[in-house]
Amino acid sequence: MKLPPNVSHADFAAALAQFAAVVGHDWLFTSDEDLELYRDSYSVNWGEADERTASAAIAPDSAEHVVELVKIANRYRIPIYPISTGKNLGYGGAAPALAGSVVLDLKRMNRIVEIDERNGYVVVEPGVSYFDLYQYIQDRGLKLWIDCPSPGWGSVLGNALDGGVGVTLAAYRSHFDAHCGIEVVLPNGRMMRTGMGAMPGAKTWQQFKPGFGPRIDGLFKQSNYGVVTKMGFWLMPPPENIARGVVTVPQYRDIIPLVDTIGRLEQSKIVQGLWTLSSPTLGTRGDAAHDAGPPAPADPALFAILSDPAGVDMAKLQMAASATGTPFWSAEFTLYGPKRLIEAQWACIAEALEHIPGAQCKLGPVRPLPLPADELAKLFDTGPLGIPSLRTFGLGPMVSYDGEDVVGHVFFSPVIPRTGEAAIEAMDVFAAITRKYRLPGPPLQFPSAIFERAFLFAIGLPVTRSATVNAKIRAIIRELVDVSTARGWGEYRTAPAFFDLIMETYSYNDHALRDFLETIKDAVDPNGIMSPGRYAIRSGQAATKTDHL
Amino acid sequence: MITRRVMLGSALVAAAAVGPAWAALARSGLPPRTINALLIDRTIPLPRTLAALIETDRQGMPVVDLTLDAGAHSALQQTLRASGAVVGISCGATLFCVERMAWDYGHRLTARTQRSSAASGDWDGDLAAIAGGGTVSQPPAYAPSRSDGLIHVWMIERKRSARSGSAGWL
Ligand SMILES: Cc1cc2nc3c(=O)[nH]c(=O)nc-3n(C[C@H](O)[C@H](O)[C@H](O)COP(=O)(O)OP(=O)(O)OC[C@H]3O[C@@H](n4cnc5c(N)ncnc54)[C@H](O)[C@@H]3O)c2cc1C
Repeated sequence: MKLPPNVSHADFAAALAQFAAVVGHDWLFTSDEDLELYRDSYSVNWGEADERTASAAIAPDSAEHVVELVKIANRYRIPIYPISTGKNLGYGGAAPALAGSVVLDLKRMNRIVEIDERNGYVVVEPGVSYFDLYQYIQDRGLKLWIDCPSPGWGSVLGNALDGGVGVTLAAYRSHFDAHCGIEVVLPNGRMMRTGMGAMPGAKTWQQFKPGFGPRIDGLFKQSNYGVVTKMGFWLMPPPENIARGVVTVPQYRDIIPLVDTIGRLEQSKIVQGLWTLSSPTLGTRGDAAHDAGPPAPADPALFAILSDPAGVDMAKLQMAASATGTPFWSAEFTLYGPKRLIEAQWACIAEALEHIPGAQCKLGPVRPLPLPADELAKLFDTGPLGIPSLRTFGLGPMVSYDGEDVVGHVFFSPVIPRTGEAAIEAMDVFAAITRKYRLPGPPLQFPSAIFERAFLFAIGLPVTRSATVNAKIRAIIRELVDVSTARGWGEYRTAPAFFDLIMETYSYNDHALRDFLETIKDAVDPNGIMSPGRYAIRSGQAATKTDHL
Repeated sequence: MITRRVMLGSALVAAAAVGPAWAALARSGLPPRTINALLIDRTIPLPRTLAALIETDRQGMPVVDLTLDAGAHSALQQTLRASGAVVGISCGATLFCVERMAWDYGHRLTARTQRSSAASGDWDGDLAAIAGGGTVSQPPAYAPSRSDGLIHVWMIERKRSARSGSAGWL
């Protein structure tokens, strides 16, 4: 039997017996066969000594169970690692941050506690997936829309806690920001509610985010200060219509005024849907996970320049593109709402962007929602329509890298300034590394506008079952982190294998932030039982650094 | 060697038991090799011979279309909840998704064989071997890909391990 670190066999056996007494023997998992399911299928350390595997898993059915389990874990100093649906592929899967932890699998807690059409909110338990919530709304004919990430099987709550994002309107895309009210079991087993929920019988828990006093909800994002057992989320009314508008600009460097102008439109809330950067010249679409696959480059002359092993010569490409009349960039906008609002928004977008010489603006048909089923069936991703799916798993070649079968990918996800200059720099820097290591992917990958004010560059690096190739991928990620850090670009999220690497880069004033987080950790979790090491936060580290505080 | 006829024979038994009895049977743990449904990947084109074979089988047992969207998701959930064993034909990407969903219903991938979609293969034989427990070549891992040109024939079965949870996982 695998043991948690620093726990004796006798203590572990006693703790497991007590866990089982709370949840029932059926819901305690210790066999190798069962624990196999808590491995990260996309682990970049698969089969190596430092792969983070669980020693056991328990599946409680209620917040009351969670309270009891946390108290037992404290009694025996057992590290526990809560997961909701455990589908965090690309960022760690269902595996714990610390090897030997007991995974607290909250999938059975899958109740939709409350849903309010009038005020547009829902309160969910951890096991509620985007598919579940969508189906619940459909079955009852509620006039509500959800914002989902590409994979619909994830947890509404778990995705938000890991900082996940979706693809509809800006106000709903950042899932943690769209939440209102948290119920959490703290590491000492005490239950707490944030915001208005701290007032017994409050009628506005899901209506007023700030509550009274300091707003601490953020402490539960990407951290390890408790087991979240309920969370409220704001939902949007279903829009009446959807339309796609496309703006093309001819020159490579037109990306600079393009991004600036769209930025201003976003800041004034004229552009609220996700816009996607694509390139007709390169034949590459941005946010590929959310839209159709890449079209082939328009012209064979362009293809030759694009396939140059020394890298794409942008000046040559620009000339060839101009000769064929192919625009370099296209920005695709998704617009939602009443027809006259869409048309008014588009008029403002077109008016602002037409100042770029050679810009062409075209609004597609304004389509009433919901779209007919046969049309939905043909779409690659239904996320922009508020409908979850798993089609993203069919994207990309997923074939082989360095002669090894690719089994998944691990994300490198830096946040880049929302300017055309930074986008160009990031595209150049990452394309050079892609070429150097012959990584799969288009010659240039584009930034995503999924965040409201910054660009996200989510690069999926191939993961295999070969330790040698995975070691190479880890080294490439370290290189990517180094070049990004040198430019002031930090990662927004990462897999457990890189928690420490990334936290190391957030080192302002001799790691003041990490020291503060670990001071809190010591205070709320002195035994260090709650997801130790998650986002590089651990107990017992702050004591050595108190002179800074 | 168990033939396709045998497979269809047991499938017919299962199909005839659709309804409450079917669900009860599934919960109690079915005898091995009784196939409750055939799961077909609709995200990829299937070779003509295989498609024709499926059309024949469609008359003998419930066929569930796998499209990895919200509608198909709830049909798949119901099938997994109610089944002791299902046989599927899909690309690696779809199998990857179905396998993980099946875990939550106490199922495991127990047999798999793969073949290039371009090759004129013995699909009938593959299906019979997978469903009937005959010898199948089973590479240890599969690429979760949609574009590697491989088609997988597989069986997912409810296992009597702890995580199956006799009370039902979801
Ligand atoms: C092809 C592909 C596309 C993807 N696209 C997207 C995308 O568009 N947007 C996106 O956001 N992600 C995306 N992802 C990443 C990931 O798959 C999703 O974010 C997924 O929703 C996360 O898994 P989950 O919802 O099951 O969360 P979980 O795995 O349950 O939770 C994530 C982490 O949060 C913590 N946690 C969870 N629940 C609790 C709790 N109750 N209390 C305390 N801590 C908890 C745990 O540390 C856990 O490891 C993608 C991945 C792949 C492979």
